Amino acid sequence: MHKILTVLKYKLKILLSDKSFMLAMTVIPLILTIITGYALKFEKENKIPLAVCDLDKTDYSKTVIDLISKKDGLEIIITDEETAVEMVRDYKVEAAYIIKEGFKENLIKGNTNGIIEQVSSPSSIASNMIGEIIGGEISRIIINITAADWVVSEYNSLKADNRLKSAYSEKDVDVLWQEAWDYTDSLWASGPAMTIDYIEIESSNVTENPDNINVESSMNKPVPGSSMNKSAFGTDSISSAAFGMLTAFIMFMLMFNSSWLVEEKENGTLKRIISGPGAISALFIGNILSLIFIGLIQIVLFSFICTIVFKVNLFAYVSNICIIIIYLFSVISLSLFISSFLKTRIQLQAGAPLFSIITGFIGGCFWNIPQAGGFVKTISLFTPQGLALDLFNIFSAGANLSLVNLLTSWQAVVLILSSILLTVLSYVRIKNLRY
Amino acid sequence: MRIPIIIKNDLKLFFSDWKAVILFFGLPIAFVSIFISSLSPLLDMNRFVDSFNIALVDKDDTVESRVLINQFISSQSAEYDIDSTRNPISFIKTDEASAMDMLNNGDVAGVIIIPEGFVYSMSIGENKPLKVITDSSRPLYALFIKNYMESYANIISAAQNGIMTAYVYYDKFVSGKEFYDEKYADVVTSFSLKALSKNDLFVNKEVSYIPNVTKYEYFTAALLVVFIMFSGIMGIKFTASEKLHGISDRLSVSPLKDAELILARFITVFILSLLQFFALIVPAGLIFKIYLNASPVYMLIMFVTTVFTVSACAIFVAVISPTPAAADLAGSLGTLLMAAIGGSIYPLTSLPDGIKSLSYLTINRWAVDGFLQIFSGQISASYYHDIGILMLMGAVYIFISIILLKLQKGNVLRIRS
Repeated sequence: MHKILTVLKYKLKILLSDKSFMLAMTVIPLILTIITGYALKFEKENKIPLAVCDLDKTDYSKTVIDLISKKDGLEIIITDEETAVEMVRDYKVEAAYIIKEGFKENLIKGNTNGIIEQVSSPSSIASNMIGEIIGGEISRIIINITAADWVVSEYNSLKADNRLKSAYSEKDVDVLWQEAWDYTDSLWASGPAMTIDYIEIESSNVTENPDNINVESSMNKPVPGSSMNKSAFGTDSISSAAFGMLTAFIMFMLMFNSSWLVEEKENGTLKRIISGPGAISALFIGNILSLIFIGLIQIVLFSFICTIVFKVNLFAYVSNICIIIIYLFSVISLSLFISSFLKTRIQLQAGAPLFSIITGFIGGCFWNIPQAGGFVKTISLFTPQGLALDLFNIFSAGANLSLVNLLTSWQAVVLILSSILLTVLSYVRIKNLRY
Repeated sequence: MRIPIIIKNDLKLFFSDWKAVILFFGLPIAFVSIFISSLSPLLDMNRFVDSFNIALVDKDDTVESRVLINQFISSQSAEYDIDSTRNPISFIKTDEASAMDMLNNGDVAGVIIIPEGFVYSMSIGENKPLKVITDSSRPLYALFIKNYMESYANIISAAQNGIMTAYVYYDKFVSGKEFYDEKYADVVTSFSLKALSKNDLFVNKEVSYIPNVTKYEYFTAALLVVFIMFSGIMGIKFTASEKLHGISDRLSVSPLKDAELILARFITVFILSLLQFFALIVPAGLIFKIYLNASPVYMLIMFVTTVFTVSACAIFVAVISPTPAAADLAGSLGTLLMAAIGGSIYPLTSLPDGIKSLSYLTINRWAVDGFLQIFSGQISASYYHDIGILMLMGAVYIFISIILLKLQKGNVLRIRS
């Protein structure tokens, strides 16, 4: 025991001496979490933002803007033309509507072609329907004008035919036009002639999780004392991204720090140590403990900062703690196993970052989307990161899942068995060095 | 003569590790495939609303109601890219029971029912309302469908208001009876058509952060730059290893000039990048049918410029790294960070504004944009802008590297003396 503690103390002294490395291993995943969390944010806002630019600035254009501003579910942002287009390009609004100069004049002349410019991005889904909604409001003005035009036209025609009642024989047509316009518009005062019979019901499909509603797991109990629950996260994409980055960078750091085995092999220390009774076991266990220790430091540090910065407590659930610990053991055993094959420290230090990044990508650390499936998902399950993330996603979304379910899941069994197997194989390989 | 010897030695060193060579040439196309499968939804992702379906039920089943149904369906008949993973809003014509099942199962966001006798009720001014049923657990869609249907009801209301005005004024001018006898039919047709003729109000324009490319072209361009950057790490390794083994110190007292060493390293990285470029472009052209019909001159200029900037950046990293391990780490993490910030992993459109601003400092942002323009077949002024920025970045890296190298050399000589 004393030997193990001595090795552990010595190793920790070495590993923790490189503070800039530890800092990089915490800060870089945080930056990547922000990027990934935002990029993979699939939750929708509760309103569809639209940019509107009024180049006409007449009572007609203002009426249209007023009417669409009253629509629930639409957020109207009044801005200039350049900003409106820029907002569409930057995906800040679903679409932009530019009411062109001469809007009123053209409506009165009956020339309605292209009087509004609809600017949308190729990914716009609702712009056509929003156009219909805006068009519906403009129809009201168009019909007011059409009715006024019709009245004046009929008036002139009847006057020419001498069919007008005497009370209307001398009417100013401009006044008449405005009267007819106002009359048509006044008919809206008592509400639209046609209404809809609108009913809202609650569908039975509660698992679909639409419109940014978080599904709460019933059996996935929070850690006692934790004030957070899954609903409180409110940022599932961030927690998925953060867990993905954490798994990627645990691999990165542990692979990079498992150079002790190669280094001591390279400089002959290992051969000298293993000649002592029980020294190899003490060295092996001591080093594993040191890797566990710095792995835990990275986990605690990262999750602590995540809680402060993103208000996301990755380990509010016992299941997540278990998953990360199983994963930690699996990565340590894998790094030991790989190290036991490498001849030089340079080989490890050159390969470790590349190996971590490649397996991180394949494992889904950078695209931890719970809904992902298909071939890529299958491939990801061949990496420890993929297995850990799969467990995380299952236990984050699933109800009626207990710790027993977790520990007996095939992903956890594969991770645990491979950890044991790789550790044993690494130990045997090191022991064989003496011969 | 000294430069070709250095290049030959570097290439020999690289090709001596066959596992690294396989990874070097095999990974790019494998990664492009993974990225296309996993991240291409981000290219089409809509931040505000997902595609959804609406069920239509025609209980009236008259010619007019069928016209109305067809109008709903045709209003969303815009053509979408066959490669797109996005589906537009769709209307599904069905019966009431199926529609309600679909709503319950979440297959549709709302149900629109045209009631029996709807058209007749309109003709006698009774106006039976359209029935709209939505799912309260999807409030945004519910509101959206409600707004949409209200706008349809408003169109009908507007037409009826117009007809009413026509009647009232004709009654004042002549008589109501004559209106019905002489004008009514024409008025109904003309006002209804006018109210429905809202489609020509809009002139459509599409704008996008990303040039018009397929998902295959996007990720080929995005990852091409990343792999050129990983080639740059090879350059870092050579330089860093020379430092570790004291070769740099020995070279400092040889007639080899700094500029010659930098040029040799640049050519080595260029050759490796060119090989990797072909290892990605050729299979991508064959498998993903990416557009390669643009002038090869554009491609060559963009490629050489990117390699120049990446090599310059790699030399800078190698110069500032104290050990090969630090250089490896800085190279790998730097590439990863630049890739994430510069839009090589996630499309820039899906990144927060702050990161978009930071992306201007990355090689990826400019290089990816340049390659995307080539793949889109539409070279604009921004292509030359991209080239200019990349050249400037490369020049800055080299300038700083030469200064640092000179400082380090001075330190070595001072220690020796």
